[in-house]
Amino acid sequence: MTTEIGRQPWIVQGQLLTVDGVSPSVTTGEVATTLAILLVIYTGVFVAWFLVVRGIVRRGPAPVAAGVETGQESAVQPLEGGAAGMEEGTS
Amino acid sequence: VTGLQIAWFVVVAVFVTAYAILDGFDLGVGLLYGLVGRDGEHREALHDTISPVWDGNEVWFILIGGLVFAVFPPVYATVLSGFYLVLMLVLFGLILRSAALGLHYARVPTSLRWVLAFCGGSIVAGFFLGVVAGNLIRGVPLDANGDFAGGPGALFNPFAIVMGILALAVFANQGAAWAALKTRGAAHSLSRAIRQWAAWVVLGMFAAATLVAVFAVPDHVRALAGRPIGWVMVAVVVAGLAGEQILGWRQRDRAAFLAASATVLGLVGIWAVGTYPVIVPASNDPANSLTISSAAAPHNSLVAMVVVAAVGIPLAAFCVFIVYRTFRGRRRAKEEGYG
Repeated sequence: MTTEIGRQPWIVQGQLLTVDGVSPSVTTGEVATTLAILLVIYTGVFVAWFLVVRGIVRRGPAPVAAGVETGQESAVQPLEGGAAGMEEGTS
Repeated sequence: VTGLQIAWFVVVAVFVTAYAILDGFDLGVGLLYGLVGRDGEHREALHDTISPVWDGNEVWFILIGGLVFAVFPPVYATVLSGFYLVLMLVLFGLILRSAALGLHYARVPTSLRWVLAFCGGSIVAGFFLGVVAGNLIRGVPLDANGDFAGGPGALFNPFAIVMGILALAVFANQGAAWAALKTRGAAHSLSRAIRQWAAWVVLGMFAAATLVAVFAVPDHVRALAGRPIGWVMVAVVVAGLAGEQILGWRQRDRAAFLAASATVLGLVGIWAVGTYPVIVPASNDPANSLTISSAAAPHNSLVAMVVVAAVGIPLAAFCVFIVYRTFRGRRRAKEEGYG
């Protein structure tokens, strides 16, 4: 807001006046309508995002599914569990 | 008209082709979403075929805007102001489908709202891209300064509507060919069946659009018919569809997708050859048209853009190559690590 309002009446400082740069064929009504639709869409997307993230948080982390599987594979060497974990991390 | 100006016009046409082929197939996959019923696995498969590439494909659209802004600035000014409402509708469609794709990981793809956003957004974006193309061929009212001089209703004419439907058919065909190339099992056979039908729909819509064009845009048709390369482009469209159909029967999915892409190349070629040397025709007075020579940026700017393109295009091509190579082959069901 500071840069945009502070630059007025220029749209390019010292080069082009805002009044000369404005689109001749786009009406105020069109801009207002599309801005309103944009606000509605972005609000909808934000609400959807919020609900999704809230759902993820409420579900909580999965019960370490990957660790359980590798645990079964390396069950014959329980003492090397740390090493198996390392391998899993690097592979 | 200088050689450099013509070269830049050709580059713009090449970028439009790249966008139409690449974003064409992922918009098309969005369309297919509405056809595959409520089978979650089919939809999951369709989604996975485009999830690594769709956002990169859409960047070609931005690239076209940036390129036209740099090399044909009056075209950029006239088209983005004059086509404001239509382009905003394209944007709204793209936002909706992108948001749907972005929220996909939340496991909501079977909900009606999600499908409406993804499929509906793809349809809106695809249709209005066709409307833009139709109006660029048909021409719009321009004043002596080359500025758009019509109302918002000027863009909604029968020819533009037909072109919007043709665009949807082409994108659906492209999407089906892509899905047939990238999926296995039931999703694969369904995509193949849709592809074999879609090629006929495109052929029918192409014939219909040609018929309407003879009456709606006679100047464009005459210019196209008067140039041998124009007939080559028409032949590429038809040969692409025939090739897609025949190669599809023989289960050669990759070749069928390339044939479908050739059709897209031919369609963009028909625009470029028929409109040359005009870029935005003035429907009220041909003298007001924006041509390659009247709209080109100064020579120095075009030279500077050659340097930019010499660095940028290989870089972009390299990235595209890496992404498509990394995700080559068919999609496997439920890969690990993408929970």
